[in-house]
Amino acid sequence: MIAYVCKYTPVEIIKAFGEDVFCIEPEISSYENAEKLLHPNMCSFAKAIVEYVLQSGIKNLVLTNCCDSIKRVYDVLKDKMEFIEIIDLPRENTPEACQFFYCQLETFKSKLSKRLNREFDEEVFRSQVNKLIAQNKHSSFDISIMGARAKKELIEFVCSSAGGRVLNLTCSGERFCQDDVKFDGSLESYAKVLLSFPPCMRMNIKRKFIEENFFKGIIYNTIKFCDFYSFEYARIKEKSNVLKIETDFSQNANEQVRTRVEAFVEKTLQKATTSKSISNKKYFAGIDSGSTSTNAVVIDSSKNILGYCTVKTGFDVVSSAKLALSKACSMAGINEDDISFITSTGYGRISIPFSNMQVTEITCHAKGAHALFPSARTIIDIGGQDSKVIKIDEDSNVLDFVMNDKCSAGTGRFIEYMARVLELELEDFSRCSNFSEDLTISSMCTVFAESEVISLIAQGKRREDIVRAINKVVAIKAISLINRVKGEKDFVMTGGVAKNKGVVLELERKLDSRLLIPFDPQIVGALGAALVGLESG
Amino acid sequence: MNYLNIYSTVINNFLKKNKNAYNLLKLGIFIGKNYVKFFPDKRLPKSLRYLHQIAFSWTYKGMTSKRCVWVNLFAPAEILLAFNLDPIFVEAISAFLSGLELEDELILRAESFGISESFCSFHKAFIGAVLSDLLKKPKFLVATSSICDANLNTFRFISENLKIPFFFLDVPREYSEEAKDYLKLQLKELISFVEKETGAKLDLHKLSRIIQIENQVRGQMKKCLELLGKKQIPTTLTFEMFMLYTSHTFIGKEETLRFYKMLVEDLRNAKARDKKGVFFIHTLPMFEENFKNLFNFNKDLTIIGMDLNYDFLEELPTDDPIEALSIKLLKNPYNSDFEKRIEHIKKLISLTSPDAVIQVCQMGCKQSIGCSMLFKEEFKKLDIPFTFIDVDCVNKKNNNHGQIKTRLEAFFESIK
Repeated sequence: MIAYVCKYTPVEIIKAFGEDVFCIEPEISSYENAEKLLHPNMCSFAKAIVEYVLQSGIKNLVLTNCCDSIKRVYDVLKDKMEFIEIIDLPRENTPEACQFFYCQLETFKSKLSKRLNREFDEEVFRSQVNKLIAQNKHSSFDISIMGARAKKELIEFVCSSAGGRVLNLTCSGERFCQDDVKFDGSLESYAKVLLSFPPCMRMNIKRKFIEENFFKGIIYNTIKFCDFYSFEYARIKEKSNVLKIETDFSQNANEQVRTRVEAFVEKTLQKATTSKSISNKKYFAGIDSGSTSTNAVVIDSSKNILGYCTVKTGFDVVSSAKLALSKACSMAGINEDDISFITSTGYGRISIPFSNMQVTEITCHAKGAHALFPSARTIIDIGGQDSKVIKIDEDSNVLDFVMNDKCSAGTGRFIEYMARVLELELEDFSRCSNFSEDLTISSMCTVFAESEVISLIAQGKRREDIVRAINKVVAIKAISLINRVKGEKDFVMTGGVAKNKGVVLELERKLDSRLLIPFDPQIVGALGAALVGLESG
Repeated sequence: MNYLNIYSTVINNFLKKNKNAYNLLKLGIFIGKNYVKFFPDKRLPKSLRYLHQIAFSWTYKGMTSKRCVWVNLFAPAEILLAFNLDPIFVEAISAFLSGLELEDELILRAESFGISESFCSFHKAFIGAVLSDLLKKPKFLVATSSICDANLNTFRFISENLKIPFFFLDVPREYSEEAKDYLKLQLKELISFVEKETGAKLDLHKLSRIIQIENQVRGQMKKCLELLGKKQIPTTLTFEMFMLYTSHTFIGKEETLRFYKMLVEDLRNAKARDKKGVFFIHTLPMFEENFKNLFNFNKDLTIIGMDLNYDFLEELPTDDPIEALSIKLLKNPYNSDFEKRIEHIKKLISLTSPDAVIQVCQMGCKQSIGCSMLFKEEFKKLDIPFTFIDVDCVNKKNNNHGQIKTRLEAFFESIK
């Protein structure tokens, strides 16, 4: 059994020797062994390969020199394998590159023959390559996943969310020829077949599937420390049908990634999940089940807000949702039974059994902010765990959105953490205004920022000035997100952090524009959810 | 606030307001070029003062001339020099911009554009400068796939954004006859490409002459390596970095040969080594305060060298320059696997006998940081104190000075 990693691996040669071959789909929960051999700042896929190979006892491995990280994977595993090969893969698809690649395949074939001590079956080889050529060519797909290597689990999630056909065009995605290639049974023509695969970014070959843009939606996956794909993302990010996500191989797709993928699919395929029938009553409720707080809003059919409430999200998401809804109803002066339609949003949206529909908070924030401020074009939502920027048009349609990656820098959690270091309550944090020195915290990372704050305290700096420096970090992080969607006026700020006047002030200064703040910045998502429910009826 | 700070603040303000700061930058480098010529640092030996002048002069040309070409460090700049073009490698530009305290704004610009946070900051600051119109457009771009993945990414991106012709050389990872044939064909295509872009014909004799100078330079480099084991000259991290100009892009220049001859002379006349000598792997954090304090003109420590400045030491055939260049590219020990790299480093170590070795783990450089643990094992076998430290040589924001200080001090305490 031989394992491989890169789609350009000459799998058909291995099969022609009668050997089983499989592509490694690393499923690991930590990099315990890998980080003994590789620096932590290597890409998570490379580390996952090393971890998986060591854990599962793989002894035969074929790699290509596809990137710097995989080259180092070869170096660290070299002495730990019974058979390990790294094939020199050219970056071009010219006749000269094909000729060179053919020589590499010839060398690989003879090494493998020596290793396996078996005959190369020409017939099997021919039929395997012909099977490869016949694949996938004339199919059409709604959604494509592109970018860096994605976990199998993520691909499956996208497939189920989209409900349509999904084409995996990530690095080492599906193996098929994008051009018509003739195969005459020789290794020379096999080299041409392999080099006609949809190229990954390490190849200096035009990625036609990106240029042609025939997918309804593109989910663009990136992995920390795999930098190839940010370049392509930077080029195509203006396209309305692209969603960027960042994933890691030591974790399953987290809720944030799931939310974003679902929101994107909603936007792309214009669908939402309706689970219960609608009655004819006239009140609508929205519940935003967030990581820190749960918010509920009740509106009537004329879109008037009748009641709203924010409660802390406890361990039991459902109880928090029930509590928020009951308090909002009591403020509205109605019974819960009078509500005709409940829409849930936020991280916990799928866990609320009594909701009629689940919609992502992206769509809901767009609706809610637009209802409060029709001139809003950019929504900056900084919550407990997420920060996101949503760009909308005059009809509240989502044009683009970005979210922070897994890192908590620039979120409410970051401020909470820093407040604890400074021994301040969150409310005090917002009140600080008497500044005397312009201090800077350079690190965006919560952990490093904490050590910087501690150094500033040790230097005897004033608490107010440190608070301001922290607010500036949050504002800078938000600005980088705003720049990524090319945010335009009017800006609305929502989420718990909008209550922090210091952050608002820093943001206004950097944007050179006033921020519109709702009367209660935390209920915008829930309001949007209620409105989505009303409109869907 | 000194003049450099004021200058840097003004350019940063221009950048923040999206104003074109190219002329201001050009003026600054022009002043710098003349300053180092007329007011050299008297603490430096003659050779390094000369290196300071030529590095500034090549940077000025590479950033302002009508014949400038942007290349990566390993690009066969000999061909460009034979056409009287003015190449400059992107890492040199980024280092200059970081020296002028501009990297923060430039990196923010690149990241806002979508370039990932973990990408090499040498390349990212450069991309930021391109996106900010801070640089004069070159005639064209030449890059190789050698050693580092960032090359293709950065150059392809710039070519697409600035609409500049780009020639990319796909360098196989191992030396073999077929790899050489593949590369030689590409080098010939590169020559045709340059001929088309410049309207001039390549003078093969001139190219041969450049290779001849290179061979002489390598002869001098070997003498330097032998002397560096025994002697010490006052130097700084910056000058070791400036040597990347003379060991790579400009290795075929007469000025380079003159510099190495002067360096050999300075080393011969220098006093015997009595400080602890440190050998660096990969790069040098010349702007990081702790490193600066420890290594620049220090009384206890001296910089012996950096492996990248001695990455290829073989003599090349001068009768067939294309063959010579393909050999040079393919036999670079950094292009292949770790085994070749460590064998080469061992040779450098045995020539220079350092007291300690430090690998600088530049943010985003997978090809180098991926070897850290392997280096650790190898140096343990050799019984040479070794450490690797995560430092960003361009983006100062990425450096945790307190932690770096502790790690460096603890390392030197352990080898006392």
